[in-house]
Amino acid sequence: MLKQFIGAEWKVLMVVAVGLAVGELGMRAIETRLSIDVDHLKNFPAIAQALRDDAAPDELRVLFLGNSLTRLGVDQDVFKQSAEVDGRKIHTAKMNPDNTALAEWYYAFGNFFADPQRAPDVLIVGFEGGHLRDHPSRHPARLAHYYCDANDWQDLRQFDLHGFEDAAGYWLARWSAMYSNRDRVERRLLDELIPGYRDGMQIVNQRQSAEADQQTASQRPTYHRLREFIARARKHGVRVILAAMPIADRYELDPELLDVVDETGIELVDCRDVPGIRPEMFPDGIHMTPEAAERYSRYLASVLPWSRLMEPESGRLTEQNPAQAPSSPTAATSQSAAAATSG
Amino acid sequence: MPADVIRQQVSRRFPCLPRSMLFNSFAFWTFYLLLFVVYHRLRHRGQNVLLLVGSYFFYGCWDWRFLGLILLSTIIDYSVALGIAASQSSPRRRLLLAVSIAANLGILGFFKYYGFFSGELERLLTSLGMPAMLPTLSVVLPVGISFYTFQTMSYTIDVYRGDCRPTHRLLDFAVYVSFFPQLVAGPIERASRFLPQVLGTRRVNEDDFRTGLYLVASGLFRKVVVADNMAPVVNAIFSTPYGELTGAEVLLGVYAFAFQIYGDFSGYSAIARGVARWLGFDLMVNFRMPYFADSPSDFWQRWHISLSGWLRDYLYIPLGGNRHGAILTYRNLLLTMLLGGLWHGAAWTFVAWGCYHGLLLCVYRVFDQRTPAGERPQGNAVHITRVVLMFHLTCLGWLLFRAESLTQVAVMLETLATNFTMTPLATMTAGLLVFYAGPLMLFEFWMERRHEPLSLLNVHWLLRGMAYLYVVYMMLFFPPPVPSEFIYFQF
Repeated sequence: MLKQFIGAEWKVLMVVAVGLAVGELGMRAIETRLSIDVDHLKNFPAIAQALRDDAAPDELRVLFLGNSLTRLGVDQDVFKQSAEVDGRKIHTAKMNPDNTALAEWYYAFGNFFADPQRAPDVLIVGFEGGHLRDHPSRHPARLAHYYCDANDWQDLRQFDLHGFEDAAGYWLARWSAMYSNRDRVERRLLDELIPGYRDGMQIVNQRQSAEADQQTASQRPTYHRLREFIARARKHGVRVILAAMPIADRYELDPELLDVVDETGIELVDCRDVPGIRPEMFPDGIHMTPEAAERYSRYLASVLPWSRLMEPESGRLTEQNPAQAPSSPTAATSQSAAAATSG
Repeated sequence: MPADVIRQQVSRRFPCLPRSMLFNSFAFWTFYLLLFVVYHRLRHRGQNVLLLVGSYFFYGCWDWRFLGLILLSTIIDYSVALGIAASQSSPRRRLLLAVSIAANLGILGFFKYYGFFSGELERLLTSLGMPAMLPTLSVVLPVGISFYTFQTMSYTIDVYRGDCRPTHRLLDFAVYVSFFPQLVAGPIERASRFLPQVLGTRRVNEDDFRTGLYLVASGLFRKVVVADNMAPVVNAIFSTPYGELTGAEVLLGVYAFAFQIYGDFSGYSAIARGVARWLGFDLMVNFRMPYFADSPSDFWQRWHISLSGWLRDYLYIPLGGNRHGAILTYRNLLLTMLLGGLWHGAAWTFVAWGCYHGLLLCVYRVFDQRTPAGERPQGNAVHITRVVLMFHLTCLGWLLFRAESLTQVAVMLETLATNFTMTPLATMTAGLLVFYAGPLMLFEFWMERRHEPLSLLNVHWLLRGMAYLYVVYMMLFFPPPVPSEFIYFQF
């Protein structure tokens, strides 16, 4: 019956199917050239492997996890030099997919580093503003294609995929490189083809986010995913450091975030005001210049509680309830908490 | 337990259930695929049962609480129509018709207009020094109520007029009222045209597949690529504080809205016609290249044809049409268009939009009647000028339609006339219009020249395949920043 129904139009459908297949193959062939970020995403396994294989046994393995703030703001060489001044040895790696937040870092860490063989000793999560808040991923298609596997389904349903549409889009993106990278293609083509696209879109986004901010202003942020993230890291003996990074305009830390810090005893390093970094060192208001990155990296290395980091992670001993494992706040935590409260 | 709480619990318990059934959603196409497979394995009776269950499920995904309203309308009009047909007494037939109209308009009026009119009355009484406290109800507008109300009303009116025989089969009549492809945004079908398709057996063939595929592809392109990509720009421009806009932004914002609303509504109608066609139904054409109209009356023969036809047959002609002299004709035109505007929503901007189109029709009629056919200027240049002029007159109407208030209309018009500066937002909007709406307009121009809305079905299969591939790639690579609901659902 279907054959009769479709009739000679099968040739038309075949053109579409062949066209899509060619597109998919083409996309798989060129996706790493599509953007530096895709290349970076495809390199996650290699980064994890290198952190395991290249670090000497006496080196402390430090992983920087974040987004473009970390990519442009952390100078690994400067950090390493500064951190090794006191004779300690460290080995660093960076995982910094663009335009991401905890929603993506959660899976990136879970699937590439939450493994006894590959887990870093120290994980430094660089964030600003609301990066650590509970919020569904803005890129579920990328989660599907680059970050997640079938074991993540429960977490995805809990945090990121709400409803049938999200789930269907996720599975499509899991199989299709074209679908999962469509926003990149769109932005790139429109950037080329539409005059003033980037500036115009920035205005549209500002107006939309102003409306969205009004709608969410009354809602208090939550941090359930961060708790899960900390628990997962502790389970593998990883010391988690939250680094509040500097941007041009100072931001406040949510009291709810400080509650999580207090309750879990995690380290929070307050780098919102780094000596020598001025607002003009952020050309777009967010990302640091190389000079600022050097100062930030040096400052970060100087304020990390190294003596505590060199101790074994006590969380390993409390796997039953790892996120709740109490520990006294570090000087950095107390300092930032006091600053946020007074601010 | 309050209905909202039940609704939340159901959605928490069954998160896989879709919360709405947009034609441009995975949920709809999954639903449709399942229905399609089962449908074509059933006989006629089973097909109609499936259509009814499917249609109620479709509507229930929006808000199951309002299924009761559809049932109520169905039962009232089914019973009234049978009563009218069985009665030989004119007063009784008129009474029954009045019951049907009062019930339908009562439901529509309560859900759609109560808040607006009670608010306006309260304001009026307060301004007259008689402050009144009318009961305030936060009434939720049932999706698609204006469409199915008009559709069921046309049935009883047609039966009363003898244009249509009533059906004794409640099931089939319920399918006529709730047929899911056109339930929430039309086209508004007439019983005389659509009911026989429900009652009779249906077969589908290769031609139905070809036509349906074309309609679905064309509809999805209009909705997903054109309308939804215009929406963020339009929203940004219309939500900008008055003093911060420039004339270029206003002009291009209105152009963008013209293509947003056209893509959105004509897209919905096309998809509705396509999916119905695959089930063996032939829904009426609702849009016929409206931006190529060269006069107000031509525009209304191309835009939302099912509504303009309804208003003509059930309002304009019963009011007297053009049969009682010029003055009454203009009155009838104005009244019809004013009510047509109000049909779109309970706000003064919609009333103003209706009045504006009524005035356009009147003015056009004056000029048209004063100039004998032989003395009218002819030629391509004249035609193009008329089309461009009519497009801009339509856009002026869209400004009234989209604005939040008449004050915003006035301010935007003033800005347009006094501060015409190109900004990055205006430049980008112009670019997006060319990129998204440009190909659609070129395609429609080609169809307009050929006088054949299904021209693409007559070209070589390879060319058609390439055209569909273009549509698929555009939908794939240029998804809207935020998928939008169809604008006309709110009417």
